[in-house]
Amino acid sequence: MRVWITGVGITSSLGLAAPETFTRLVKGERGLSVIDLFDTSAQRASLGAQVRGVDFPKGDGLPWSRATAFAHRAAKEALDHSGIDPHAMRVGLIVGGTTAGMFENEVRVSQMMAGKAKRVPHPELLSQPLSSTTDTLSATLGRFARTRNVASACSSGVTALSLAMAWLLDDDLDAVLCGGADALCRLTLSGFNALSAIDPEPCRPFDRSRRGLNLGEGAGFVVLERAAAVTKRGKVPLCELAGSALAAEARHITNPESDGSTAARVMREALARAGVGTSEVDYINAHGTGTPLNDAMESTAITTVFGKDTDRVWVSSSKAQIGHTLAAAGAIEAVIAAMCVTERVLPPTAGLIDPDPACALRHVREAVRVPRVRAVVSSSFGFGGMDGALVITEPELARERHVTRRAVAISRAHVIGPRGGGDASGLSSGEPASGAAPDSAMVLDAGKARRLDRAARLCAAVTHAVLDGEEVERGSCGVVFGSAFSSVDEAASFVQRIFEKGPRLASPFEFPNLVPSSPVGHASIYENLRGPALATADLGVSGESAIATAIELLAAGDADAFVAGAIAVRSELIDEVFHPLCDDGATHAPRTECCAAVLLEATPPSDRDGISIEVRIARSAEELSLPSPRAGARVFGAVSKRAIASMVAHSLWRDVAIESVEVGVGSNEATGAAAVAAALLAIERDETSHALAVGAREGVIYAFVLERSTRLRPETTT
Amino acid sequence: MSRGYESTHMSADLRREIKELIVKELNLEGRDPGSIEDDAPLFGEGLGLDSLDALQLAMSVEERFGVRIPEGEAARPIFRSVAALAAHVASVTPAAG
Repeated sequence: MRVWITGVGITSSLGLAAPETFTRLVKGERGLSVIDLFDTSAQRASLGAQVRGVDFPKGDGLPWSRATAFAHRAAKEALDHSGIDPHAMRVGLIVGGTTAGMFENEVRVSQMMAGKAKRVPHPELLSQPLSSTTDTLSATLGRFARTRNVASACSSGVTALSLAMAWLLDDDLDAVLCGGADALCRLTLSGFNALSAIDPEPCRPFDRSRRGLNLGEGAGFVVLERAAAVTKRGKVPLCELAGSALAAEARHITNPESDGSTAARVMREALARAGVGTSEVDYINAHGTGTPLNDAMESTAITTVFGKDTDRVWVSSSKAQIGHTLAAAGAIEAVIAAMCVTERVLPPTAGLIDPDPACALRHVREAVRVPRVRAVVSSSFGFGGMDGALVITEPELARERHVTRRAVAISRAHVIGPRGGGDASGLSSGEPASGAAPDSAMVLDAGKARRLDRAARLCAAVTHAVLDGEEVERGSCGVVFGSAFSSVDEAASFVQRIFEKGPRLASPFEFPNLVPSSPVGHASIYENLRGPALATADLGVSGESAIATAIELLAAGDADAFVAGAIAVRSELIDEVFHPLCDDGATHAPRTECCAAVLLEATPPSDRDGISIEVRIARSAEELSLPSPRAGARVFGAVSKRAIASMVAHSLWRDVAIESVEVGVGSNEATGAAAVAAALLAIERDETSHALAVGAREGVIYAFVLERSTRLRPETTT
Repeated sequence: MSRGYESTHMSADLRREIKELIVKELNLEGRDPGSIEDDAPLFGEGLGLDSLDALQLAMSVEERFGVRIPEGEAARPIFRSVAALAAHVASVTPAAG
């Protein structure tokens, strides 16, 4: 399968389109200014790459934020560039993001948290959840066949593009629009300042005197299509997304591992999957943040991977010009990499005067024009040790790779809810569960867990329980949890403290835990899981979106195993404000706390016994296509039986017995994972051999088909 | 009222206060503040703290004592031990206030 990039878009402080941004990058211009979105006078550093001149509609009923406005602009540019129409084709949408409407909402939620504002469900707060970006893009750009929000801190953009490659293995999709977007806010500026990670002056990646990064904001998007489809519609590709790789360091929540071994691993794996040798790589668009630790680590990793080619391969970082755009960075830099291939010119590292001997690379000091750019490596490294790399090449540089789409098996589950922790037994009967999970269900090593907040403790405890006693290779085991609202109470308290005590007293300990993917990062570190680590978010189907993501990445070979589940942490603001706000009007019980996950494994090429799981995703119950149920099959869900029945009403499963775990786990955003756990348990106990776990929210329905199987066969596609 | 830490008695109090701050702020759950030696190294060996702990401790010291810890290399000798940190706090804390 070949994946071609047919359209690109960038919104950055240097320009509101990709060509303008690229032209100014090449000229060495820097889009830095004093941030004036909010009062920055008491901040240690206030210089940033703020995007100016992008507005969004008010009063159209959509959950806009600046981040979403950037995403919309860059996504539309990419769509227009490629010439595809999401109304006429089956197009997927993946957005990497970590802030969404944090800037628009952080003052209000912090006042609510402090009891200074009434806790009522303001419609404006709908831009707080990360899924507000895909919701708004779906409403404005097209009816996408499948949507997903992913977060892996500063590598979110690379994660989005990697998942898009996995999606294109599925013939059901014609193209994927994917990228990342983030916007500046008080929380991130204060947080990075608390970590002493920001240079108050224009930053200097790879320089001997570098002392930190400059934050930025913006969005980058690309349109990916299978080569055959592009050729069929007579379109010429820009370049090829030839390979990608994701992995976790599993070491530290903020500091990169000093030997750069995981950074080297993702570069190597991405090149191997692309079929491209280091001798064919002409340029590296580095993560190059300008922090002392990152640039040294990254240089070590590049030297390790490229060996004697290190002296030949040009390297530059774009972050001194457009800032570190966090979740957007990987996607924006993928667009820059693509434009380097098509334009044959390489932009410089601005601010680099005196290269650090610890960063002995072939730095682009001023833009260089080259005869050809055959292949580019673009890397991103995020908090929680979430690393990713992409390989972007001239079309057809390497031989076409034949990818075997792998079957996925499910074997373990653990649920922590108000009734405590365990498997999914008894969740469909008894007294309705209410309130928080007991602390006794989260037994962790106190020393190893000292930096974990409650959400991270839940994720680590569930991950530990799922893996306990299993012989799973940790090096290729990923972890993904869905979370609809992230740690909103903690974020609100963090911002409130800034208002009360000033940004100098922002907590360095708390800030890293506010990144949406942090609970996952902590779980990866706690359990030493070094496969891909990421979070997903999609309101009431956050659990479903996480498990689906794991199945898709396993099928494509991005990991060999995954712990996949969801978390709904106890929270005053979610209980009182966000849960009622996002509750599609149905009457729900008060919100409960829940964390559940399952163990998924890609089956090796040889056949294997076990329970298989596959996912079917549709935009409505009418569009949901399912295999015929076996005799005695059962349907599982985590909402009322009536609601579950409506999800399968148009399928062959409409007369199948329904079981709901709602009574056992209550109402929250993580219950989808508990429903899958219950379906697994029913098959394990031989109560049935064929089970369906379903979950839905407006515009999407997820159906997981679990089946006792003596032979799990890989499917083959190219 | 004097808030100085210049006397021997007061510096013992200050060291105790700093140990309690370390245990509380760095979530060293189950660790008895009294078991932290005055002169034992805080980072690397000893308590096994890292650079993220140093940032949190610097912020906490600034909040509690109104004393700023310099950033970067200059912080290294101050964070050598509880005794060194207490001496720094005492040296810059106003004797009255």
